[in-house]
Formats: sequence, structure tokens, C-alpha cells
Amino acid sequence: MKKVDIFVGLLLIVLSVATWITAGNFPSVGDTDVGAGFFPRLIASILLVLSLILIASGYRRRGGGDEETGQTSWKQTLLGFVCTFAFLALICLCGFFLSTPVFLLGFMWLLGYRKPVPTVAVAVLVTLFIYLVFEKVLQVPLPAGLFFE
Amino acid sequence: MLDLFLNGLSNIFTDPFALVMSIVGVAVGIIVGALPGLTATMGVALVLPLTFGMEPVAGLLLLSGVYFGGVYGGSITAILLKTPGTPAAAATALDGYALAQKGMAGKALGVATLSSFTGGTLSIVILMFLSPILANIALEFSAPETFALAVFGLSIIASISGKSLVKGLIAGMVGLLLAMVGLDPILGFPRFTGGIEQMINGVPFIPIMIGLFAASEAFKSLSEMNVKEKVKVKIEKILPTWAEFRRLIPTILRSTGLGTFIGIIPGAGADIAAFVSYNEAKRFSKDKDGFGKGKIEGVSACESGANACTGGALVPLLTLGIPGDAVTAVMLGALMVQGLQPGPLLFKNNGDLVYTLFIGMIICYVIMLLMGLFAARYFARVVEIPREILTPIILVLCIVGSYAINNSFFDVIIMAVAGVVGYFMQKYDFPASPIVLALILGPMAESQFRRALALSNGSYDIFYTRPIPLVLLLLSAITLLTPIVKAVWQQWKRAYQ
Repeated sequence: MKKVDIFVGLLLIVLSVATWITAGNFPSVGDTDVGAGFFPRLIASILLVLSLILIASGYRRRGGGDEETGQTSWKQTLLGFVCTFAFLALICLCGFFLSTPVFLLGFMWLLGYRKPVPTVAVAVLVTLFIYLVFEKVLQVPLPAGLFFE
Repeated sequence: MLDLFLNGLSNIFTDPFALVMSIVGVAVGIIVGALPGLTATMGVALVLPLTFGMEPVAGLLLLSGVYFGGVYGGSITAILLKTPGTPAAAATALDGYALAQKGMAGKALGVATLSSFTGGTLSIVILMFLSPILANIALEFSAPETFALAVFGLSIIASISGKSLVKGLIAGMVGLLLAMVGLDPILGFPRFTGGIEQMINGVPFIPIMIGLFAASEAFKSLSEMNVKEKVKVKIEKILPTWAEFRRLIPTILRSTGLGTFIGIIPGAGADIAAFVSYNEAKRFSKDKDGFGKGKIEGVSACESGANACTGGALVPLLTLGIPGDAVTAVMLGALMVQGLQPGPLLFKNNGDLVYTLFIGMIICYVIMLLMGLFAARYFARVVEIPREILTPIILVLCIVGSYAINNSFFDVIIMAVAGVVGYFMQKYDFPASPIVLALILGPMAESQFRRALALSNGSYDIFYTRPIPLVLLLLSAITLLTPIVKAVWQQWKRAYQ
């Protein structure tokens, strides 16, 4: 049994049913046009069939649980997700140019890379590079953050 | 045609910025390609936001440089470290690393560089001659033809891009559903926007590409940390002798033909081209056993095949507006951002620009040749950059890049979510490229389907009474049904034997 496939299959069934229902309220004008709901409903029904196949093949597959990769590596990726979303929140609050060095330093440190000179150099140089390329050359104002607006 | 060609030549040499961008692009591409885990697609997706403020030629040559350099760069680490920098270079590693162990790393690098250059350049020349012809044919296409073309592209991509047909198709369907978000193409009714204002014009697809192709790779590399590698091989003379090169010419030409052809077919990319070229070179060779033990023909076949794919993949993109793989999907995004709609009209309305680009692409390959011959050993050292430094930087670039497109933080969140989803998709064997291609081809399929029905007063005859839609739709059906029939047949055989 492949639990992931079954879980994904169920999720997609919910998605296709929801799409089917929502698309029922879409308008259709004239005799020749199939209307705004036709394609979404068509795709949703194909997706429904595919999800059922996915679930069925998930059940049929022999041999215990899912193959898991090493526990430590999974933790690193989870750390990556957390750091990235924390970074996004930080950008909203303190702006891009304050958050970026903090993120780079913190993330490298958490990943276990702790040599002081290279980490600080990377944090400063990357931020400077982005400042020059985006703010100066491309003239894209990067977010300043709630505190500094 | 000749005057367009000469015009392009003079355009490119009077545009120093575009030349500088080509050099930067190729250098970035080689670095990205050489780094295991970073692919040409990722490089192009990360650089794409930088091209917004540029002139079309400079921006597109920057991206082409990254693309070409990225396909080639994988061979450097494949030869020196047996860690192919890109999937396409996996075949190169077979003979390349064996050569390096025999103390001929330099020669392997030289052959790889020369073959990449020859294959790539010839494929651009083919692109240059083939695409105007195709574009002229495509100019005659109306709604039903374009609809069938979109269906054909989608069916091939969904069926060959993943390990499992069902998962590839699911990815394609999810992409199509995402493509339905936003205003209905005919009635202008907002669909599935959830009341979010930014969704009116559809799901922003460039952030999704950056998320799926760059951020997800960065997340993935986190679970492969701590592989310390150092280049220890000594690199001697790099250029092969003329006699050696002459012996390679048939291999290079055959692989170039194969690579270009494979590139033109939607769905098949440089990795498939490299493996097919390698196998064919082996089949044609008198010394079959020598392959895998350090034969320069092996390296040459893979590299010329993989790089020939680049010119081939650009054919359907530029002439039909159909991207054949992930890289060209990102390139399509870049063209659209520049206000250029790829397709037959591109040649009619922007012929000058297109030829300037072709010439520029050949120049990119010349730059790649020079960099490969003179600096390959330095590029190889990029693998010494610790992943702990590289991954955070890539994530920062993903965030800045997706923000810069529309100055919208909403796009950044879409990118981050796509990155997380993309990571799990990879982990559980759902291919990401069908999603992106469906995002591009979905709206095209829907609007053309409904336009076709308007043309035919609502009759479905229009899809099978015209030759081109009929053939394309039949081909799509065959593509989708063959694996199913095969599976059923095998089960039947097992049951009754």
C-alpha cells in the first residue's frame, strides 16, 4: 500500500468535486459556445478518474509502508520551509534589506555552516548585489516593511 | 533571408550590451550546469526576472546563454568528478570519467567542449532554416489546428515526463485546472478567483515556474547536504588533435541530427537526446566494448546530442508558441514579458529581432567554446562551494526574482507555496513540467476550442474534417493510449502463459 498515493488521490477527488460544483454556477451564453463551466468540468472529471486509478494502484502495491529517506535530511528540508516562511514574514515587518542578511546568516548557521568570515561576507555581499542590481539597475523598489513605511 | 541574416549580424555587433549579456549568461549557465543539483532550467528561471528591464535582444540572449551554458556545464563535473551537473550529462560521465581516470581529463573536456559547440551551433543553423518554413505553414493555422496542437503538446509532455503515466497526467490536469483560474477567455467571467484581486488575470505563472523549478530544487538539495567534493584530477592539454577530431565528425553529425530532432519533439529534452546519441554512437561503432571504458566518441556523442537539443527545442517554441520542455517554457515566459508572442506571427512582425537572436545564439556558442577551452578547470571548482552557502542564496534569489516581476508580494507567496509543493511532487514522483506547460497550453486550448466552435456554428465536425487537427488529435490519442494498451497486454500475457 502506498499511503501517499492514496492520500493525494483523496485530496484530488475533493478538488475535482469542488471544481465540478463551483463550475456549475458559471454562465453560458449563446448556442454555439460551450460556456465558462465546460472546460473546468471536463478537466475535473478526467482528474477524478485519474485519482481513482491512483488510489487503486496505491492499494494494490505490495510491501509495507513508504520508502523513507534519512531522518536527518528530512529535518533539514523542514528547516528550509520554516526559515523561508519566517523570512517572508520578516520581510513584511522589517523590509527586504534588513531581513536578507539576517536570513542568510541564520539559515547558514542552522544548517551547520558556522565559519564567521565567509558567512558574514556572503550575507553582506549578496544583499549588496541584490541592492545594486534590483534597486539601482532594474529600479525595482524592494519591500521596505511595515516598520519603515 | 540573406538580408535578414546580415541585418541580424550588424544589429548584434552594434549592441555591446547584448554581447556582454551573452558572456554573462554563458558564464552563469556553465556555473549552474556544473553544480550538481542545479539544472539549466533552474538557472534560466532564476535569471528571468533580471531580463524585464532589458531590451528584448539583450534579455533573451542572457537567457539563451544560461540555457546553452547550463546544458554544457554539466559535462565538466561529469568528467572530473563523475557527478553529472545535469541529468543530460549522466551519459557523459560514463566515458568522460573513465578518460579522466586514465589521466586524460583534459582531452575529455576538450572533446566535450568542441562537440557541444559543434552540435549546438549546427542546431541553431537548422533552427534558422527550418523555423521560417514551419512558421509559414503555421501561419495558415486557425482555431481548430491550434487547439489540436495544444492538446498534442500536452499529451506528449504528460505521458513521457514522469515515471508513471497516471502521475504525469494528474500533474497535467492540475496544471489545466490552475490555468482555468481568472477571466473566462470568451465571456470574461471571473472563475475560481476566490475573490482575490490578483487572480483575475489568472495564476501568475512565472512565480510558479520559479517555485517549481528553482525553490523546490533548493529545498531538495537540503536533504542531500554534506557531500564534500574536491577536484583532484590534473588537467593537461585540452585540445584534441586534428586527426582525433576528424574521426569524431561522423559521430558529432549523427548526434546533432538526433539531438535536434529529439529537441523538436515536445516533451523530450537534452537528457534523452544525450542517451539516444550515446547508444547510437555505440551501435555504429566497431569497438562497442570500448564504450564506458573511456572512449572519446562516447563523450562526443552525448555532448553534441544534448546541445543540439537546444536549437531543436526552440523550433516549436518560436514557430508555434509551444514549449517542448521546462527550459523553453521558462523562455516562453521571458518572451511574453517582453511583449513578444511566440508563434508564426513572431516571424512576420519581428523578423528582424528573430534573426538577430539567431546570430546572437551562435555567438553564445562561440563564447561557450572559448570559456570551455580556456577556463573549464576553473569552472570545475564551483563544486567546492558548500551547499550550506549556496542553498540560502538560491532561496533569496527566488524571492527577489518573483517579487520583481510585478512588484507584488502575493507573487512571492505563490512562489514559496509552489516551491514546497514542487518539493513534495519530486519526492513522490509527480513531474513538475506538465503543470507549467499546462498553465501555458491550457488557456490556448480552451480559447481556441471555443473559437473553433464559434466558427463552425457549434458543430464538432470542425475537429475531424480538417486534416491537421485530425492527425494531431489522433497522435495525441495514440500517445496516451499506447502505454495503457501495453500495460494491459503485459498483464494479459502474464495471466495466460
